Amino acid sequence: MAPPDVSDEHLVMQAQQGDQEAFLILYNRYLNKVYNRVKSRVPLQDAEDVTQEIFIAVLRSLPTFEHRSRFNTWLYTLVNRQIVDFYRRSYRKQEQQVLSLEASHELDLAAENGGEVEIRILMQQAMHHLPENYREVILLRFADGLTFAEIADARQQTLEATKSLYRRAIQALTERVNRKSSGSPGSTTG
Amino acid sequence: MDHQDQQLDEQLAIYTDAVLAGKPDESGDLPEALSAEAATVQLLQAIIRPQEGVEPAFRHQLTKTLKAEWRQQPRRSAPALWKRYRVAMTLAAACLLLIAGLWLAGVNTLNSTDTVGTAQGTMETLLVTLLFGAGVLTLLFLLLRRRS
Repeated sequence: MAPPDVSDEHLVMQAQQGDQEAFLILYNRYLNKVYNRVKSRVPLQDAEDVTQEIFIAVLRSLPTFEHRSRFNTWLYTLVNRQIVDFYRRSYRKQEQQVLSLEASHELDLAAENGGEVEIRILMQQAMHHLPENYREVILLRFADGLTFAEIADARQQTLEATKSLYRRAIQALTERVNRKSSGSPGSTTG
Repeated sequence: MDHQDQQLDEQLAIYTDAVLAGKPDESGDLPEALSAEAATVQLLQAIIRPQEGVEPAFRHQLTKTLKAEWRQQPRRSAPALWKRYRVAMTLAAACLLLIAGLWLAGVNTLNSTDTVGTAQGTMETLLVTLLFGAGVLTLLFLLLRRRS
């Protein structure tokens, strides 16, 4: 499809000038990455809806992108904003239905393999509350599939500093999951 | 940095690479100090499953949705380029106005009669008036574009 050497910024410029094909190249380039990021933070059954909302938001906001930052930085900011919006909407809906987040998750648990779903929810909640730089280094490795060397390059850090940041991020995530897990009734994780 | 810490960083990175490649056993012996982190890495891999990506049906449907959405969008312009053009056009319009204004003022105050009333003078006045009008119109256009 797209020549891999065409930069995101060039494609954005073309899309801003009305080139639909350029937009579709960008979309195909980032669809899996965005979906993986969404999967790491929202319930699986909502991941596709949230991904769709993100790309529609990208399409609508593209004319306002002023090239002050890299396209992927702008895109991932938009991803974060849409995920926050998703949770805001969920909480509002649950308040209306007098349902807690845990209660709705219990419905999920009944529908699927309980333990696995519960761990997924704990992990997503922990990811959601992780400091930005910790969450980013984890997502760059798992969702974007960058190597540690590529992450170091993107963050303009040394490889050692990146690996150190990554271990601290995983430690923080582990602590949060364990903390939530020990406070959650019927949990199987330790 | 502490040498032991650095070693743990390295081992966790190697373990993560192995897990993401689907070969966690090939990463060598993991120290006890990293067992909890290793479990988290496995969980993350199980949850995100980066190698899977989106379902083809979802990709197809989303592509269709985005194409439809694209057609509904108003005609795009390149804002970054437009900004640069706007600055250049404003400067050009201002210069045009200044030159035309100075010329008209010069003709009126000095009461220069050597060309006024002649065919050449009429042409010059017409040309300068046109330039002046073009400058005003350009500035008006820019002002309206900025407001919209």
